[in-house]
Amino acid sequence: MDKRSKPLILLLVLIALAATLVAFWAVFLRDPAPVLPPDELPTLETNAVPTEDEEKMDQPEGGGSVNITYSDQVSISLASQEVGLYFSNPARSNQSMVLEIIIQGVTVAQSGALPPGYLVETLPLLGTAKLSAGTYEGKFHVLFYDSTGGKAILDTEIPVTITVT
Amino acid sequence: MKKLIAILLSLTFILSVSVFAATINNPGTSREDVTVTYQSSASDVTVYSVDIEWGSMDFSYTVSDRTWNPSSHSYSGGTGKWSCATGANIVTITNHSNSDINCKFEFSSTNDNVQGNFSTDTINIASAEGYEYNADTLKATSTLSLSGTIKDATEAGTIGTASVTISASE
Repeated sequence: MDKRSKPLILLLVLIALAATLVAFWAVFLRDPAPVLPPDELPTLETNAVPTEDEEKMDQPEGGGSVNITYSDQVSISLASQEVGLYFSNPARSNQSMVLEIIIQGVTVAQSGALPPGYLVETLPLLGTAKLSAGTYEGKFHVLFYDSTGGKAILDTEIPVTITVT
Repeated sequence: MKKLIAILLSLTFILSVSVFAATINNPGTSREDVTVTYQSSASDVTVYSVDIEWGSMDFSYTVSDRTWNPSSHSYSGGTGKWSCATGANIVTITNHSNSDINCKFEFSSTNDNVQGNFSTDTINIASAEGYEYNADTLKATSTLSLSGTIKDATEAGTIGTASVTISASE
């Protein structure tokens, strides 16, 4: 090894070290991108269960009319990485819904589409959620979508108590 | 000794006769106080069921013509006015829950020059227990009004989001 190649080797080692550090940060330390509510109606939630048929509500022209039926008690199992809840968009509603479950500003679960006539009792916990056991004050964020799949101008928030075990 | 035995036998006979007589006097009847204690560890589970209805929320901002005033070298008129179709700006909440609920109405503007206000910020609606399904008591409305200005057609479109927060009444 001559004297001129030493700095080059040193530079290559430094570059390799920097690349390793960046990769470590990206994999283990970087905050994941926030989960945003979809602007358009996604595909049907895989955990959605059909409910009984009902007569539709009257709907104001150009607006929306929905019913939401729910429990404000939510459970999260860290072992199974699942959220246990009760949230129904009854058949009498005129809009589809997407449900987000938020703790301290972080979305820990997000449903797919819940059209009228579907309820959900289980949702997968998002991989971005870093939770420990305890009781949290969180919220449902409910988004509504019309028949064309466009997001309504009105949304709803519902405070819920979330027990993590 | 014989006398004592005779007395005891007499007493036994008298007592047994009186018990027998009592039984005959109340044929087929045995009155005992039955006491019941009501104990319940169960409580009614709260089921929240809420109707939400909203109008189109389509607003128009109409600017009248400006008139040039030569004496003051300024325009008059040209002010804008917000309007919407009847009922288009109303949000109605109906409570079908077995609990009181509290509704909070908010508007979040994406245009700094436009503000939105609901006629009622918060409304408490009574539990549906004891009321008919369509009882007016279980309904509450709030009306959105917009104020402020938009410069021109490029600022038209979606200018904000209305939100209703539904919580258990405290």
